[in-house]
Amino acid sequence: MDDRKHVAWLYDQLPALIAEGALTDETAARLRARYGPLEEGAGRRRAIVLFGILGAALIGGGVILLLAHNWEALGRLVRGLLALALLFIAQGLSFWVLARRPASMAWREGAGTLQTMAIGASIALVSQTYHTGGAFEDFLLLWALLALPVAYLLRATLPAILYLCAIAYWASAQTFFARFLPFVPDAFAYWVLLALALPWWGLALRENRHGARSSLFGWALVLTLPVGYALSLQHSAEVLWPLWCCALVAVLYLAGERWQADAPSLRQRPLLIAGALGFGALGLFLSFGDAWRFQAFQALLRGERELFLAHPAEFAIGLLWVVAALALWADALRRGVANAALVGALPVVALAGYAIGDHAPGGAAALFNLYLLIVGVGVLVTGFRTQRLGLVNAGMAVLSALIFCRFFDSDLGFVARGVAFIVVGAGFLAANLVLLRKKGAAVR
Amino acid sequence: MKQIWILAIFVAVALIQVAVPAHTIWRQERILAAGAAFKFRTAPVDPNDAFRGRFVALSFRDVFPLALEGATPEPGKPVYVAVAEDADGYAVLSEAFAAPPAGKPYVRATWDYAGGVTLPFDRFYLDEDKAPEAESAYRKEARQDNSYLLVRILDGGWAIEDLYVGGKPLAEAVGEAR
Repeated sequence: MDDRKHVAWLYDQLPALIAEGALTDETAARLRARYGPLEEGAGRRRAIVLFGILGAALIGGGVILLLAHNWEALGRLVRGLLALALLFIAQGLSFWVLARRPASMAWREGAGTLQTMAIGASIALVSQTYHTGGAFEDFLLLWALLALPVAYLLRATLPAILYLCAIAYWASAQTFFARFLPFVPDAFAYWVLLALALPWWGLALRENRHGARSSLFGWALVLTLPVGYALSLQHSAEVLWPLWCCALVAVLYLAGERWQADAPSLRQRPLLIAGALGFGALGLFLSFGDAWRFQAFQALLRGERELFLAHPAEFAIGLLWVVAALALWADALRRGVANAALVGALPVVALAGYAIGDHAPGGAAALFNLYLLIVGVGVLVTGFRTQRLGLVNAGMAVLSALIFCRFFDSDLGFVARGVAFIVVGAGFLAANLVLLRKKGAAVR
Repeated sequence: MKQIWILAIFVAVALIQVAVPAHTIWRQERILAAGAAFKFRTAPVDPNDAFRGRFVALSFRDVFPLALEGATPEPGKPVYVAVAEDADGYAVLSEAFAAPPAGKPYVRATWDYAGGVTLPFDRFYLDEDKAPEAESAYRKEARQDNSYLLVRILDGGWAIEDLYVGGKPLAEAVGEAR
């Protein structure tokens, strides 16, 4: 998009440049041939799709509000049939789109959105008319399950995103037993539901890996996944949360680095961004001594054995994520991607933290301080070496946040902090000098 | 995939989408037409919680089953309670079972921590214009003996017919208060 803006600017300048004699007609023609014609329609097409979704969502929302008024005067059966009629109209529109306009993204997205709203409105209206009550999360799950096929058939984005939000909300409302899915163990319920939506993402990625639909789904996934992840691992989280969290963050970052690093803009890298932010927050949190106070390894072996026997499915899921993180890390090491190799070590460092924390509780926190320092400097140096300003800034951000945290860490004495600050500061200056010298040598 | 297949699958999906609300309508209408009627006496609820949006949160007086078949269920687990009528014509929970009882009107409820049950009907929706007056009517009358929820029960299914406040349907009671 930005590229086209620059090309439009260039084409705008050409006549003046030719008039001034800075370019010949021939060169200008060659420039036009190099960059191709300006696509007038691209922005407009996107606007039409967005307005289609927005319009359908507004109409659907308005209808829901009208129905929520609860028109007592209409009588029970009339209200029930009204709900069905609404659904029929939306389905009819979708059918027409599938039959006559299957190639139009604007029609597909708009009709899919409207039908999704109509499904929700009709179930809600019937439930309200007959006072059937029930839990909100069960309504939401039923709605999302009924709308998911619409996402596939019309290749519509909103029902897919609604589905992700609904299953996360549903998972968060489950405490002791699964109500809708009694046939799967609690820990698996969220993953079974998630598995139903992932092929949609696969299809969208195959169509356009960095397209708007793939990215939107990716963002919805990284925002909702942690909820389902936490819920499915809730029984073992009290002691094992550092490991579980590190595995999730590492998988997000490494998968993002593997498959989204070549995306043209940040908003097309949901996994990478979520992984990087998660890494910063989690790493800094684990650099505090308090975070490790109850995470000793021996306590883990003693107390977790019974917990493991009571919830084997939960541990299987958690270990699967750890294995996935390690596999992606091995892949990053093999490819020699420095920043991924550094960040991907997170779960291993967490395991080492458990082992150290057993003998010296402060040791685990110290290990994480050292690890973050290495990551910060490593990313910074990689950024300098590859001339990528984003990495330079990311490395700087990790280092400054780490320094900031230690400055206010009351666990450390003033003398220790003072000495550490001076050492780190001297290191910084030395690194700067070395880099500047190298650069100077390159310039000369 | 061929377009004709996509359309065929779409039609099948659309039918399922219609079937869910349509089944609810059919089930509730059938219970309302053929179910046995019971009057569940309402109890006052926390006034701040009585009206959430546009429905009355319902609470009931006699939620302790008179007898329990088998072991005491765990709190939060489902339990089937048989419903009978007392001498005054109000509903009583006569027995609680682990499985649906045969030959008796019953509803599926949840065993609660206090040794009673939470009945499945928990809300009564009404016209948003009437909500404020309905709130005061319900608050005033729920303490009296002549407030109850009329529920029809058939084969374990239930349907709310109306909420009676001071002996009159809620809508009527609100109309008079105007």
